[in-house]
Amino acid sequence: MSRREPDVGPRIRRDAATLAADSDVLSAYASAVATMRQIDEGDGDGPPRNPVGWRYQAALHGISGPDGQPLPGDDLWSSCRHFSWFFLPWHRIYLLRFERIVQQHLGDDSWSLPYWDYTKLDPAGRRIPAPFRDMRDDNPLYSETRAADLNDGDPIEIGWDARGALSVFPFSLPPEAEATTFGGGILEDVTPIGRARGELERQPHGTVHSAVGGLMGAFETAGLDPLFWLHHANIDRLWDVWLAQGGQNPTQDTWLRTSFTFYDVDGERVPMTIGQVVNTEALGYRYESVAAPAAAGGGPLGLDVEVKRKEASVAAELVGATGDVPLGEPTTVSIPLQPDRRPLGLDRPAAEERWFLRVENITGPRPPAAGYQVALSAPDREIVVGNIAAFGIAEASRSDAEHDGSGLTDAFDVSDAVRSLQEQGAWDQSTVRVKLTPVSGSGKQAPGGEVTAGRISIYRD
Amino acid sequence: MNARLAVRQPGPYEHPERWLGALAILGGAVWASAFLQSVVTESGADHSPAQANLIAHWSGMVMAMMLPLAAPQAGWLARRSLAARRRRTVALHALAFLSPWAAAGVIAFFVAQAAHDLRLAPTIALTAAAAWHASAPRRRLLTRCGSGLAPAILGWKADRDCLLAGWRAGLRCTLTCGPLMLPMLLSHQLLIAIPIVAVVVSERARGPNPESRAARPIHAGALAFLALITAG
Repeated sequence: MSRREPDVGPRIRRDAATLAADSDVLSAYASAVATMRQIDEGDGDGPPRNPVGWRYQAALHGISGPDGQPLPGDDLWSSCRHFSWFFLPWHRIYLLRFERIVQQHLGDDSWSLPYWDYTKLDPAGRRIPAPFRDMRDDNPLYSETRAADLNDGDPIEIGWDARGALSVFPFSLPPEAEATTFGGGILEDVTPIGRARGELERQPHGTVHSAVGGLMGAFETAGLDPLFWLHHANIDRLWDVWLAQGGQNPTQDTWLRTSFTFYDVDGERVPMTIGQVVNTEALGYRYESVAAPAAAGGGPLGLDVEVKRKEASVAAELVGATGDVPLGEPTTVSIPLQPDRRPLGLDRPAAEERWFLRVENITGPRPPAAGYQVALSAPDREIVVGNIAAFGIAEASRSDAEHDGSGLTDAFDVSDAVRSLQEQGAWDQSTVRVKLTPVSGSGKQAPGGEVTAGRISIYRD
Repeated sequence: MNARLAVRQPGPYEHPERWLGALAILGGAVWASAFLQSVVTESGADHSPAQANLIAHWSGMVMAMMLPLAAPQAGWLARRSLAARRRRTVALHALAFLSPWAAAGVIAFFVAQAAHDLRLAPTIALTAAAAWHASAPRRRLLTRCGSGLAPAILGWKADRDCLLAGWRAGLRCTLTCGPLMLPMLLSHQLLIAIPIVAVVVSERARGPNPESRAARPIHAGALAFLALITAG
């Protein structure tokens, strides 16, 4: 393919679903994947050696040795940033460098990474794009490791919805805050204290990783599935969708001046600060659509859900908790509510109360389930409030040089669900019942493995 | 979109760990007083280290320098405890956090007494601290000092979890920073104390690239340089 002159204006990353199966964009991508895998062949069975090869690029996200621990060899391997406000910018730079390498292999500076938009309400839009499901042996985009039903063309059924994440408007909050954030907890300390992952990282990012499964289901193999890059292009796009809805990026110097290093097309290490990558158009690309997913019934809460603005809550009060909950089987836990002893005058009107459910210190090996559906339960009804993605549990449970293995924590804003139960007269003021069900990517009940939640807590603001 | 809800900021009652700051200031005063006492003693005829002074020196140092480092985790635990138990949470955490430091203090006390007549003792201690500073095990300990396990909320289990969290943090903190405290105890010199305080504060300061700042060689280099100065 001949090298084209760069287009005037930013390149457009397009929705893979709207591209024809034999489109230039996808066939070029398949060709580049094949080229990068050919580069890998020079490595034999050893670790990857060429930074522009397929395995090397995947290793930047994660690579493990036979013992399951991150493989040493290059300090940039296994450097993916999760569970903090660095999640989105690290992956943006990762995609940008990967895209440049693909362009280099293609000899086409105008090629742009497409995205897989599974956030559509129409189930047909939530299928893995057809070229990635084509089972021909010579199709570089196919991976047989994925969940069989999704590879057969079934739509993804759990954790595809981004409206919950797009409703949360603080990008980040300090580690001591209990509320949900869009982009993950603030991380400024060398000695970080436990923090919750951001809503977008939990769902749809983590849930889609786990629902697709196979290579996509673990940090150290995710980048080996060609679908990974389209999934993360969509996550990167959802960041822009959130900004278009009025979201605001952090302004702290500690965030803007943090830099991440990747390899350029010539194998040189190139650092970039977050401040350099907050604007995609300045980076030379934009997305075909940054419209918010349409409002409709049947949303993640089982209610009429649209993208609603929810401001930060930084002073929620613990009102109940229970500990050591095994998640292997469907389980319902009762959490007695304690009297809220805040000084008088700090209570909100009931209609403005904010309620948060936190599932903390989730640990265990990678489970067979794609995730855990979380619901508030009443005697004759239950309201699903979201999903805990299995993606990341095993990694967060691992004790290594940078992590203490205390597991991951997910926070859910359950205010709407509580209000709904209150309106239906099904709200018990003394006890909150939480049901956790391990589910597969197609939404069916699945074995939950040996995963445990260290604590399940209820906070009220 | 619905109307925005007001953002309520946490009130002072929600930060019971702040009294640790007052305790740290008290520790600073004790430390300063011990320093002054050392200067008076060193300039007099009697050069033997006063036992009470050594104890005051160590206690003041630990309280002034380490309690501020324990405060974020104590605050994090307090926010994850029921409002009625928050002061208790912080008190139990602080008590357990200081226990390993007290044990290390006993060892440091005997080392200081035994090494009193050894002129190069501060140099040797600084050299050892420099070697330990940039090592992989120390980096591992440092990045885990703030580990976050949510405690039980009621009864003896809640007390146990707060004590365990404080003990773990204190132990990691003692192993991480203890070797830095010994040269200060051995030398009684501001020339040594000030750079060491600067190293401890700067390596834990909030800033960009937090995940690559632990155990930076520049800090170990500064300690090695300090060791060279004291040798001369």
